[in-house]
Amino acid sequence: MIGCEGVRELAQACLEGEASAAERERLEHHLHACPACRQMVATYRRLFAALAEPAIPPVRPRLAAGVLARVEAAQRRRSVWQAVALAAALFVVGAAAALLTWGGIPQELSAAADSAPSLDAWTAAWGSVVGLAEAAAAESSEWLRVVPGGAAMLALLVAALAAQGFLVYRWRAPASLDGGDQARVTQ
Amino acid sequence: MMVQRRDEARGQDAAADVAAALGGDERAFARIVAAYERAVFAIAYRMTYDAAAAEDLTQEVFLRAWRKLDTFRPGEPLKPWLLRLATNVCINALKKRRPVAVAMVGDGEGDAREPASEGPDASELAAKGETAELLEQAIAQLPDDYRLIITLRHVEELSYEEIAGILKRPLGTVKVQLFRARERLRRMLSPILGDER
Repeated sequence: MIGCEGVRELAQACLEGEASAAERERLEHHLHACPACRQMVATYRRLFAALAEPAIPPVRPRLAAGVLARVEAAQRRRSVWQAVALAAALFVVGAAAALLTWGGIPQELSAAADSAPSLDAWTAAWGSVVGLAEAAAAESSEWLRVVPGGAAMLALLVAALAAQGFLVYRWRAPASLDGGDQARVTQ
Repeated sequence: MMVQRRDEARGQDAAADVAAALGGDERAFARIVAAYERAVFAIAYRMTYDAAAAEDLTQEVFLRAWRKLDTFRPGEPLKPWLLRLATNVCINALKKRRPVAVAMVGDGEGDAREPASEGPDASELAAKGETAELLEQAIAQLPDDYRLIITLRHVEELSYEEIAGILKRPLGTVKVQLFRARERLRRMLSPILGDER
């Protein structure tokens, strides 16, 4: 036997098909003797019926097309970044190979690596990079012949690594958070 | 039983489509969108009560699904996985924008949103046979958690276990929240459901 206070929970369980046969029987027994609870269970029944027929608007046909357009746009963006990242990676590999083949480590940097780091060694290394830039500007057609190969390659290697780090970061960032999409969601 | 068989068949198709989509097949992904857009849209709509915003959120959910498809474990049902994504996207969006106030039917428990000042009263709308509209207005006044849980159970027809998995809550909590949400709805809608208790 159950009291009126237990009817709500049991009524919901019965309407969901979660109650055991014994529980259903107890509820029926109570409802037979209690018109008020019988009325309440009837309201639950109507509520469950209404919940099964929600007034949610239909999905517009263009929604799927919009999703696919955004997927394709994201794919295109990703392809471009992938190509750029691949080119950067190839460049890094090529630069490293060139460094090992022709340049070696610049004399100044080599000396700095052999001894404790000193201001003079870093100044000399920086000087060679500046020299590279000046030589490239002055004799752009012959810069590869003029500049110390190792310093040039080292500078390019650093630049390529920095660029690739940026590309990897940009590649992993979710494109859906690009300004336009986010603005539409948050209005 | 019919629903279960239909879901199993759909699940097998979905697994094949997921595998194809992972290989870059956009048509396979289009089939996934077509199969589940209604379910995702229902969640988004119930969380915003704004069809345009719900469409945007639905697109966002599928875009994320496309990106995260490689994290989907084959053999698991796709629908709960997608609805988990939908739930997260909608909750995050709700943190940034609150839904508009809706006409209030009358909740005795006190933590509903502000009522709209010029809505028709319950008996008037009921007389026009607008029970479904009144139900939506009542659901809109529920806390976010309750709206989600009611939608997952009664619109998406998920099991308690699936809901607990999606919301990352204990099974007992899901059952209690569902009971309270329905009880609150029953009280709010008592004028049209025919019981004043």
